[in-house]
Amino acid sequence: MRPKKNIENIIKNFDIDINADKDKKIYQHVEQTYSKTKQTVTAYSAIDIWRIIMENKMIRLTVVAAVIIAAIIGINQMGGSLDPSSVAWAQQAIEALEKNKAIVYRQKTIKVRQFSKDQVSEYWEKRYYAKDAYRRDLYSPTGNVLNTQWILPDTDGHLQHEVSYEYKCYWDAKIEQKSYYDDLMKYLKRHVGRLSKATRILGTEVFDGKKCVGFELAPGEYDGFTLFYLNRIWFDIETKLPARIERLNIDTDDPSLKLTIVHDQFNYYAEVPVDMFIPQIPQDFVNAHSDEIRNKGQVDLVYADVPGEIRDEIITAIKGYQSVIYKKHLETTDGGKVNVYPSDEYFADHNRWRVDKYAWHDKLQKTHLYNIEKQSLIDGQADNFRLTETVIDYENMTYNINTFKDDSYNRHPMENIMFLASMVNQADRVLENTVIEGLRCFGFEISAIKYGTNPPDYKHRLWLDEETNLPVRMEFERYSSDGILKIIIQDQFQWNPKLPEDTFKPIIPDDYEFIVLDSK
Amino acid sequence: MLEDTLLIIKFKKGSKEALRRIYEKYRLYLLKIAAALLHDTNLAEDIVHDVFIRFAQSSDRLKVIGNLKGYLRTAVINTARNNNRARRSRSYVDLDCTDQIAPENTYPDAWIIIKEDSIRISKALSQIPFEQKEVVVLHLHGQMKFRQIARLQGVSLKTIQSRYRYGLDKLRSILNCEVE
Repeated sequence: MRPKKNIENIIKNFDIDINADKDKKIYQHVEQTYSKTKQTVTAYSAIDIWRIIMENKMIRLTVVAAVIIAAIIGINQMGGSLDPSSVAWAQQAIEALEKNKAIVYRQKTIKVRQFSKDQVSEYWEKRYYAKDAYRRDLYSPTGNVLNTQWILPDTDGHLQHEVSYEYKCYWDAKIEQKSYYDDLMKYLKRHVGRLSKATRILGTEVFDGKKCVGFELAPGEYDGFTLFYLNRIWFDIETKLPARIERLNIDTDDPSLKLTIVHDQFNYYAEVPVDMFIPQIPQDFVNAHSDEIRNKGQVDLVYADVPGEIRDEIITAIKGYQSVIYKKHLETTDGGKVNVYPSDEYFADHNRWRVDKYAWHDKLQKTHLYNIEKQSLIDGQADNFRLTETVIDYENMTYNINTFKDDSYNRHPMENIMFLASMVNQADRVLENTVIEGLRCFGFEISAIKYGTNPPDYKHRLWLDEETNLPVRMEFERYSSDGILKIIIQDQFQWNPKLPEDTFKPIIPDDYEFIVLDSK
Repeated sequence: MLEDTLLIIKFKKGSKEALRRIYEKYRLYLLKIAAALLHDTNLAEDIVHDVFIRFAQSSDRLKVIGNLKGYLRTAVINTARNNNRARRSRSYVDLDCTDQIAPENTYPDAWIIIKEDSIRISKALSQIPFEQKEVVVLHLHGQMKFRQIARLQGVSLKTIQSRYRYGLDKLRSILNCEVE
């Protein structure tokens, strides 16, 4: 008898050939059908594309919200107890919560960057919750209210009203939502309920003048629920109510940037005047969404409708990097004459990078070495970041060492690569597939105007290896004021090479002089 | 996978280059599955041809993202299965007229040419029940996991595993008789 594997192998050997002439005929038929179909389909208008993108964004936001809620629910499923007495404590807190009729708190966001100093966002929100009414004020760095949102019961659901003081407009939207107050109460109760299930006790800290004790829940799988983010909750020792809730390191579109959301300045006994929950619309404001007003008169942005899934796959590939080597050079075109400038060579791992700067004829001119020392601190305000730069100047036989408390001057090279990759879903167009450095590549073109106030003709191009989804070539193109086309090219990428031990170690010849720079 | 997503975007935007690439990438894979499943190369060709025609017509409303291979494969399998049902119901009047047609009866303008040493495998496959053949072909040629096949056929994983085991046993028996 033939064993199972043998039979499987025999069946696997079943094979066919294709008659090339017939194949050609069939394809022609398919292509003709396709051409006829396409003639009858109207192209997307710019408005359609914009709407699709807006819809996608909304979908993405909804997904993020769902993930956060799932994470919160997941915490309740954890087992184990660190402090048996905390159960009684939690019970008191829940009872106290149930007596409240309105709760007010602040929400702020901290940008946690992989390669740079953490930053507290200058914008923050104040949220007011009452039974069947909700209000949120968005504040600017100068303390002005930029936007107010209300959510109020309507005949069959809820109505969201929003006023933008910045763009002098207002708009409404119907939403399917239960009472926000009930949701908040459940949310807070769940946090209180977690007291006995915390994975770590953080000790005591003072927040807003109140002595608090903190508990931490680590991300992970808990009885079938996945807790994606580290959660911390701080209880006011006196009132036994949550005084501060932190959700740490929430993923964003940019893989080098995470967000920590902090809810604090809780006021459980706020006397909120009823008229705060009544939408107030200034007389001269127009009925339009702020996006419409903001985009009026701006350059029409073009989108290739690249799905977020593509960006996610690229980011997953890039995030897995351990080290990278690549080259970077400038090419200019002036009246048809192309100048190619010498390449700098970049070496990077997670916290370190090095740039070898070359002059003409491959002459090594300078080596810049950078080392980041960083601790993530919750408020991002403390001195938790230090960048050390060592510059060895082979021409002048000197070296200097500088330390920076932020990275305004020097950014880790992966930050730009990750940022551009995170914008792939906003690409203007998908480039034709091509072979670069022997690799089959796909590519995207992205206008720099999409991430800032750049001129519309500043363009990025990014090509990625079809096999690995990792960058193979990057170009940044712009025209200078004198009409010269300048393209900065990053190429010859080597992903995850084993870098020699001394790659990031300053090797300074004995006869080099140490110099102190006047200013940086 | 990523290439497929890009191909779909281009295809939806009217790129003939993308259509050609999709066709060239998957036609052999689909033809092989259809030929192994149906044991009637003429019908297998028609099914794959028809799937590509319908695909070409669907460019404006196509929702698939990423798993293009699975999408096309499912289209072929569903059509093949429907066809098999129709043939089964016909067989009361047209008894067994197709199952034993040797695949080597290739007509001159054929698209599929079954390789010489695959003919006896094709014959053996034609002699096992369609449900078992479907599992064997999709697992060994479609590179599908049992779990995926179970989902596709709407039956339990255990049923699929049994069908696979029975199918292989029968094939072993048929091929042993033939050779030994």
